[in-house]
Amino acid sequence: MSDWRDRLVAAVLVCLSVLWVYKAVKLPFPSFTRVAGIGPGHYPAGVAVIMGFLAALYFIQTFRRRGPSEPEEEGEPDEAVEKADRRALWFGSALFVGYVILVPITGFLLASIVFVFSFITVMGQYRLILTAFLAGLIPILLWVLFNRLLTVPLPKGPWGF
Amino acid sequence: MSIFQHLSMGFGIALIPSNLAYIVLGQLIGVSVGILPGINASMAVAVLLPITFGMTPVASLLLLCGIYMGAMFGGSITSILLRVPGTSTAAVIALDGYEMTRQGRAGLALGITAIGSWIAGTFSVIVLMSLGPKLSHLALAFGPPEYFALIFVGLTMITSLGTGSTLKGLLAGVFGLFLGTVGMDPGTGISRFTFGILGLDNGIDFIAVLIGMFAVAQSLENIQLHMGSMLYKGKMTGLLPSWKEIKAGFPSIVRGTVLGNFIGMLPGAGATAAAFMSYSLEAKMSKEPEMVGKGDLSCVAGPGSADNAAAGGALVPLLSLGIPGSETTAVLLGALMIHGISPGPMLFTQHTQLVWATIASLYIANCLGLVFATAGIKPLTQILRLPPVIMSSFILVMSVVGAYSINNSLIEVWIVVIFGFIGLLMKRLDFPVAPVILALVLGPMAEKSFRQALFMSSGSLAIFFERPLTVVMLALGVLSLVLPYILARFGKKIPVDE
Repeated sequence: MSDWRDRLVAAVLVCLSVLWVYKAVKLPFPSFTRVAGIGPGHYPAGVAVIMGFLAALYFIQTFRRRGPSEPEEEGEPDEAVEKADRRALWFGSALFVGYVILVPITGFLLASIVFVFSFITVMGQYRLILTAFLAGLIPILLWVLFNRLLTVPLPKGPWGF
Repeated sequence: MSIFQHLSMGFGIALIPSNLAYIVLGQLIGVSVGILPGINASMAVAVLLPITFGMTPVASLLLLCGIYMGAMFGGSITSILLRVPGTSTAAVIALDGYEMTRQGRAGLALGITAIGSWIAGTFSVIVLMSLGPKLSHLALAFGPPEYFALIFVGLTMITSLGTGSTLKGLLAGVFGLFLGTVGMDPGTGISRFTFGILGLDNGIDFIAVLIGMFAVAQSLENIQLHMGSMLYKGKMTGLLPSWKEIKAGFPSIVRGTVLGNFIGMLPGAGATAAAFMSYSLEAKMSKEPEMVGKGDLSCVAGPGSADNAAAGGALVPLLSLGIPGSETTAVLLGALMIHGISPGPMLFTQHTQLVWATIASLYIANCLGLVFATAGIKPLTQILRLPPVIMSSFILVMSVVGAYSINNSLIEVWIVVIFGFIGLLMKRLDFPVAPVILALVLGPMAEKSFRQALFMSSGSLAIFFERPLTVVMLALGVLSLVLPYILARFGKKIPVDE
């Protein structure tokens, strides 16, 4: 059961709703909009109130659905596989965030080569030559397509590419 | 000009060699992404959208519609052969389709699905071209109250007609509306909830959210799946069903087509709901109930047609009213807006060539889909040899390029990252993702119409209850919100096959 995660999500949504209502109330209400009786803050405040209410309902629901623990289903992945999956997800996510941080520093091309190389090395464990080939091919292909053919200026690094 | 004159003009444009090449390319990409598990039409259309920035609006739409329709054809192939649905819409086809494969009837299952998809796709295009202009003509008389009511119906259906928990659907939809409040206020120009970030003044770009929630979340999810070689190794003969077999499957194809097309036109219901409803209908109407789930032809033919009919149906509200019915049509809406075209009632009169070329391209795409899905199955399924890790790395890099090229800014790239993780969390917690995207698109439209209506009435809410059409639509919206609760409380429990 992922009750704690559900509750955390519900709590975050309630907090966001409160923040939104607080900010919406503080928004100015220009005189020319007063004829309609609705200003820039009314609609967001309304949406935030509904979201807060639904999130609170969701929070309560996590307590109501508690029942006897279900028997383990046949064919469910074992713990070792789940652990490996979780590790793969964390590594993959960290590499992706690192890649996005690297793009404005080194430029798109170099950052992408580094990302694809490390991503395939960590996740796929293919032969080094194949990994290096793909790490070069995918970014260069996309760089040529966007930068040269479609003239979309991609972020450049200190080396001009 | 009559419908046929418009259509021949459309074919004249769509059959220009360069445009035809875009349709063929779109179909090939679409069928390929449909075959690949974990990549669906909306994800492919969103990730490839930036490639179309430099194209003409017609070429751009032909390519994207080709991908959209192609993915519908391709999705069922792996469902039938491997019990691995290429798209969520094809998940239900796997139930009986895979059983048919195990019985050595894979060719028949694929053949009847291809023919059903072709009939359904063609029917939905006929409905689009006959209903679209009439609907857009009717919509010309719509004022802000009617538009608000229409969007309200769409928003409520998005959340209540989706599969799974209604509360989760509602929460996902309202979260989309909530995200839609970020950015400059349409009435006064005041910045709202941007927290000093200039790049958010134009709001949270829904294409970036879509790339994050679909492409990034799914790519990260895919690296966890331990998928080995998934190539189908059995024999595949008799892809063209016999006349007797077509006759046996035809009633299911017709039922799936009509049901799917109707559901597709309802905003938010989508092709997946259409396929599941069609399966449920076929299971109830089956002459051999004991065969349901064990390789019943009608349970393959019906849903296989319904998803294609729904895909075409979703284009009706987009092209005639400017309201997307599914997440893929939301991206198509974005594609049109990027080219400076506002979808809506004026589209059929102001951009006649674009609309009719698109309709003609859908006919061509349907015929191509039939060819690819019969003659090209063996070579196309070779794409399954591609390891998910390599595919994921390509999609992640492509997502970054795609997001950056929306505004040549890194803000959209970070939106992709953040919503990639939000999408992943939503998948884990079993929240539907599509309502977030659709509500993000429809929310600002709803607010604008609501405020314009109140300006017209000097702040009186009575304006929403004075016009019959508005009242009917608002009542429909409320009904679609409360109906699931009423059914759950007083209705019979419907057994759902896993």
